[in-house]
This record gives sequence, structure tokens and C-alpha cells, in this order.
Amino acid sequence: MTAEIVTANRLIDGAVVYLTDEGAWSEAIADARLSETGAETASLLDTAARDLADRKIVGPYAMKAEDSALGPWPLSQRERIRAAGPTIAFGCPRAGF
Amino acid sequence: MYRYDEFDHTLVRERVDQFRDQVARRVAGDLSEDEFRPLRLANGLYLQLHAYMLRVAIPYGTLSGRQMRKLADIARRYDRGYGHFTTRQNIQFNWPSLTDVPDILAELATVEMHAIQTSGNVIRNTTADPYAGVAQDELEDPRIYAELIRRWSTFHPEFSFLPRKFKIAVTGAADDRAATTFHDIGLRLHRNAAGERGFEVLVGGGQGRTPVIAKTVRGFLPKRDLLSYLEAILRVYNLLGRRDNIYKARIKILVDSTGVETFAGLVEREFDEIRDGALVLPPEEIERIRACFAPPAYDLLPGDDAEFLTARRADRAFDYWCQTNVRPHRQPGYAIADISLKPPGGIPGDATAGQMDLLADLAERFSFDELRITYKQNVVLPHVRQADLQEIWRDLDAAGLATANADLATDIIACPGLDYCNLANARSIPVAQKIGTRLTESGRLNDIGRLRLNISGCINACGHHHAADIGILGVDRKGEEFYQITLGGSPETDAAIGEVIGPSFSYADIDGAVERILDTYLSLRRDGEAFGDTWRRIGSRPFKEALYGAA
Amino acid sequence: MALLKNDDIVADGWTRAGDDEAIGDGILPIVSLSRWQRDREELIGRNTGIGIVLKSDEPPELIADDIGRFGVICLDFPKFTDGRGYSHARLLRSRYGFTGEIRAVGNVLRDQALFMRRCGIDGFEIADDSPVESWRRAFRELSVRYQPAEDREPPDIAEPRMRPYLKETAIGSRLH
Repeated sequence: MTAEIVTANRLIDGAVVYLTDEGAWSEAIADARLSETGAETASLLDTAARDLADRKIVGPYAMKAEDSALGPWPLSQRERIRAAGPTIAFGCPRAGF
Repeated sequence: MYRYDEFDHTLVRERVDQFRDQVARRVAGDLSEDEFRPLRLANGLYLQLHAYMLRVAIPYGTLSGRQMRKLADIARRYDRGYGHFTTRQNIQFNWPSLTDVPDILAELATVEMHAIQTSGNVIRNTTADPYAGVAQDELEDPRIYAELIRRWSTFHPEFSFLPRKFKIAVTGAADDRAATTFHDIGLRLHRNAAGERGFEVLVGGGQGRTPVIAKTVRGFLPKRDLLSYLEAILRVYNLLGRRDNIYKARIKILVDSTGVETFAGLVEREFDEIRDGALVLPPEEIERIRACFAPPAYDLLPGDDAEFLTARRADRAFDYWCQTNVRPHRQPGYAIADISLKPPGGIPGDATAGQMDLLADLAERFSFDELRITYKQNVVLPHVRQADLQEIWRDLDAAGLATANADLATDIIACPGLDYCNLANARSIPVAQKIGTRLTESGRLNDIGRLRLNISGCINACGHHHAADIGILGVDRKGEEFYQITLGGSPETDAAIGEVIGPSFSYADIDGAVERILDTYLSLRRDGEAFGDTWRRIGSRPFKEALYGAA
Repeated sequence: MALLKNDDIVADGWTRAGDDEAIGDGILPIVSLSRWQRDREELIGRNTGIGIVLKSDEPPELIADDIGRFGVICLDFPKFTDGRGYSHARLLRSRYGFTGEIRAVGNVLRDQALFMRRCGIDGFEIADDSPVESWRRAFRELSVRYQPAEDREPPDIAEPRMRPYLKETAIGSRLH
């Protein structure tokens, strides 16, 4: 099966977070635990469900990812943008504004 | 401008306290996310791709310098230094923390602002013509009625759990600058044959998966009956709108499936029962609200300002901006100034905190402290002396706000798209940037003339692509971003839904496709024809051939 | 479940009777609409109070001719997001002149309590462990009214302030 990682948003500030080996939630996708089996994913989602009930996170789900030199990296465009931030630069090119 | 009275202040304060309590209970675990979600949506707080997103209401798109400054302040202190103005005349902040939102709302309350009912299955911000009160073609200021609707709809206990969201727009001029035909309810002020003023009531318009142009349900509604009639419509919708399928839950589906005449009959029956009840609008109340929107103390000027005309002749760039962005005003010697938030390569509808401060400054100095937000995600200074325009333009230019492209092809409406939005299938902002840059560099913008080009990142159509001359819809084809083109849409009195022109284009190819469409238009249009006219005359075939080759 | 009325938990004199359940002597039954339609004569013949529970897709006009017979009308909210009951309650009060108890049952949460009350609902079937104090606060969270409804404030709550223009009507007493 395609490897998966579990992700959610942190309740208090909405930040995108990923479930790590230690069962913690990290903003860095590189820290995410990559699951190779359905059973492992289910177990990660159980942890997530507990943390949802515990008001740490909201909206957890599993997403497909592949291993890379820099850690897990999503397969979908949406999740890549979610991991890396908007693809556009904000701010005004005029100095002082 | 409308100023809060004691009722409004109390309501907004109590609402802040209520939400603060709800957030505390959520964080403490007394409320589940399912229970909390509609409560936070009713305060405009979404959970989006990267973070929470807060949508702050700008009722009928009108705000003061002080209010704009507060938005800048919030962008700086609670967000990442910018905000995004929307097609419903609201502003969105993309990065607030949940736990900061009660404080943000409290700060907004100090300047008579809020985020009430900007999301959720409730009656949303009622929008109006951004040139209300100042347009030359205006019969009556629609904001008077938008304000009455705002009150009636705020915390309406019967209509707080509708089948789906509900959007109302009001216009009072010959030109429809509020896209009323694409709203759940559109209200058009006009004079009937007897010379009385009242509303044409249109129901069931919308963008989304199933774009529909609203149908006239009542050709003439006296002003006295406005709120009773709206109540009747909403009650019929609340009772009969579908609740089993969120994609079929808008009122447009109900009107379509029931048939407009039957639907109108249901509304009239309900209206008959309540028409002489507590919602009757007495003329004194209308006049009281009208006084809040009274014209400012204009200087009595003789007409076109001679110095202004000289300045235009002497400065080509200024003159060009005046041609594209400055509109005639009811008051002699004054002008309406459109401020484009669509610099080529920029993010459509975004303004930084610094830019917002400048806009506040200009409003206070030059526009009787008033600004408007438009359906096209731009800003307006509605009461500007012609004599002041050049100074304003220079200040705007220093802040990157003087792009001379109002209503031109690069005045693109774009939704936030996959860069920000949970619902999106494709990015829209980079497409807008590519097209904007390319068209500007081509030097053909002036020649192309007025053209609506809108981009939506998904089928929900928040970029209003259905109502554009050239509409672009982002789709996901096997994990890649592709873009489908529609042609011939319009949100104005010649309302139309754009027609899909053929297979979609990749992200790499979409801007080239847009150029070929424009080439075709330019080569085939007759003198003075707008895109829509050419489209209606020649049909889709020349465009299809240009894009896909001869059949 | 507990019954909240006028800010307090009160004893419930009514009993829900299933569609095929025998109703004992002295029981004041609340029956479903289908049972009412099937057993109407028999239920009337019992000469006791009768209550009815309407589902969210059962509008009050279905019992319009019999409104006066019911001591309590329960409105079921299958999910709190199903807002039809709010219109049903208002219609029961204003259109059909019902003066008995309108009770919200089902997914009834304190954050909707104020809106429910403003629509004419005056009884709330709540979870046993739901803190009453929280409900009392909920009823008082917004003191200003922007539009008329079917407000029914308990006597001790300060009269909600209503925007001044609202016309007094013949049934003006509804605008407490």
C-alpha cells in the first residue's frame, strides 16, 4: 500500500500538524511518522481520535505520502501546499507598505 | 454613514462575550467540535487549509477610515500583515488563532465592526452597489434597505439554522453593480408604471455547482412590505429547502424544483398572513435610516475642474488612470475613484496593513472619511473632488495601488483557491498572476477594453467564473491542475451563465489559451463591441477553433 | 432526560407513549403524529390531556384543526442544525394561536436555547447532567432584539429591548 501519515489542525491556532513517532503533533512534516500498513495507520488514527477528544487537534485524517531524503513528502498537490504554505508571496513590493 | 446606536453597541458587545464563552467552553471540552462548528461559523471563523480564517463583515461594503485602520491594525497584530477583500464586500484574515479571535472581535466592536453571520447556514452580509449614493444612474440609495435588512436578519431566531447559506443583494441604479441576479434574493429598486418606488424581487440565483440566474418572483413590492416579504421567503425556504443533501440545499434548487410560479404562490400565501404585522416598514423609519446615508457636505463646485483637466493633459500616466479608474459623480466637480487591488502579478483583492492605512488616510483627507469595497474585490473612494485626484493618485502610486485597470481584463476576480482553501481543486491566484502579467506586458489591455475575467479554484465558484466574459474553473485531473474555460457570462442586467468551451488546459497552457481567446475577440469584433456582444453575435465556434483547431 | 421550564428543572407530567404501547389510566400521553392520526377518536375519548410530538418534517398545519386539544406539542430536532422546528414553533404561536407548552426535544443544546425561546418554545428536554446554570446564562446572553418573534420571557427577565419602530399590533402583547 502507499505509505501514509496522519495530519490534523491544532485546535487553538489552526496550525497544520503531523503525528510523530512519539505520538506528538509537529508542524514539521519531516517529523511525521510514516505508516506502511493499514493496521499502523488505524493505530495512528486512534491516537488522533483521542487527541481530538482531548482538544489538542481537530479534523484528523490519514494522507498518502512517500519517503524522501528530507522525510515524508505528500503525494497530492493539496497536501504539499498544506505542508509548505501558500505558493505565492504576500506583501507589497513597494517599500514601506 | 450609518453609526451604531445603543442597540447596536450592546448587541455587538454581548455577541463578543457570548463567543468568548463559547471558545472557552470549546477549549475546556464542554463543547465538541461538531457542536462548536456552527457557533464559530456564525462568527465568521472557518478552519481552512493552513489555519483558521476570519471573515469580518463590512455591511453593504461601506466603511470609514477609522474602521479601515482597525482592519490594518488587526492584520498587523493578529495576522500576517495583510487582508483579503471578497466578492461579498467582506474582508478575510487568513491566520488568526482561535484563542485570539474573541480579542479580535472585541477590538472590532470598538469601531462598530463584527464578524456576525459571515458564515454558516444563516443570512449573510447583505451587499449593495458599491457606488451607492454617488452614481449618476442611481434612483435611490440601496444601502438604506441593506441596513434595514441587516438588522432584521441579525440573530433572527427563526432563520439561524437554514438548510444552507443565504445571500441577499440590493441595487438602486440602472446598472447592476451588485450582481443581484446571482444571489439567493436580489432586490432591485425601481419605479413602477404609477411612478411609485419599490422592489423587483428576484429569488434563486447563485453560482456554485449549478449556476442559476434568479427569477422574478414579485415584479413590484412596495417598500412598506420589504421585511414581511423577505420573512415569507425565508420561512418557505426554511420549511421546504432540502436538508438531506448539502449540494441541493440552496433556495435556487427549491425554486427550480417547485417551479417559480408555485414558489411565488407559496411565498404570497405566507406573506398574506403576515403583511400587516410587526414587520411593516413605516415611512418614518425609512426616512430615519435615509438620514444616516445623507450626502456629505459637498463643496458647491461649478462642474469639471479646470486644473484637473490641465493636469490630465500634462501627465499621461495620470490621465490613463483617470480614464480607467475614475467615474463620473452625481455631484458636479466630484468623482468616484476606483482603487485597484489587482496589480499585475499581485494577489487579487489583497491589501497589506500599510496599504490599508494609506487608504484610511486618503478617505479621511479626501473622501469625507468613507470607503467602499466592491463586488470585484477592489476599493472605492466615493466622494473625491476632481481637484484632489492627482494628489490621491500619486499617493496611491507610491503604495502600489494605482494600477489603471478597473474593469479591464486584468481586473480579475479570483478566489483564494488551493493556496488557501480547503475546498479547492486547483490554485487560482498564480493563474491570475500569470494572466495579469502576460496581458499587461502585451500592451493590449486598452485595446481589449472592458472585460470580465474571473477565476475559481473549484466548482463552488467563489471566483464567480460563471458570470464572466472569460471564466476559468480549476479542476483536478488525475492529481494535476487543469483549467476549464467558460465564455459569455455576465452578472449585470444582461445576466448570463458562461458556456463551457471545451476540454481543460494545463496550468502551463491556460494563459496561452486566454490569449488566443482574446486574439479571436480582437480579430472578429465590430466597432465598439464588448466581448459579450461579440460572443452573442458570433457564437462559440470561432473561439473553439482558435483553442482546439478546426473540427 | 429532564424538563427545563422557566429557568428551572420541573417535574414532567407527561409520558411518551410508543405507537403501539398501551396507555395506562391516569397517564397523560405524548403520542406521535401517526398515532394521533390512527387513534384520534380513542385518544380524545380518554378525556385526559393529550400531547403530541412532531418530527421536523411534520409541519403544524397537519394538526391545525386539533391544535386546541393538545396540552403540549413537542418539536423534535433530529440534529440541532435542522432548523425547521423554529418556524414550526412560531407558526404554532402566531398562526394557530397555540397557548400550551411547546417543548423542544431531540438534539437540544443550550447554545440554541435563546433562539428557541424567541420562537415560542418554552419547554426544553435536556440531558440529565446538563448544568441548569449554563442554560440560564444562555437565555440571557443577548438582551437586544432586532426583529419581532414570539418572545416569551419569564417574568423576571428584564424586558428585552426592541428597536423602537416596530409597530404595535392587535396581538402586540406577543412582543413582550
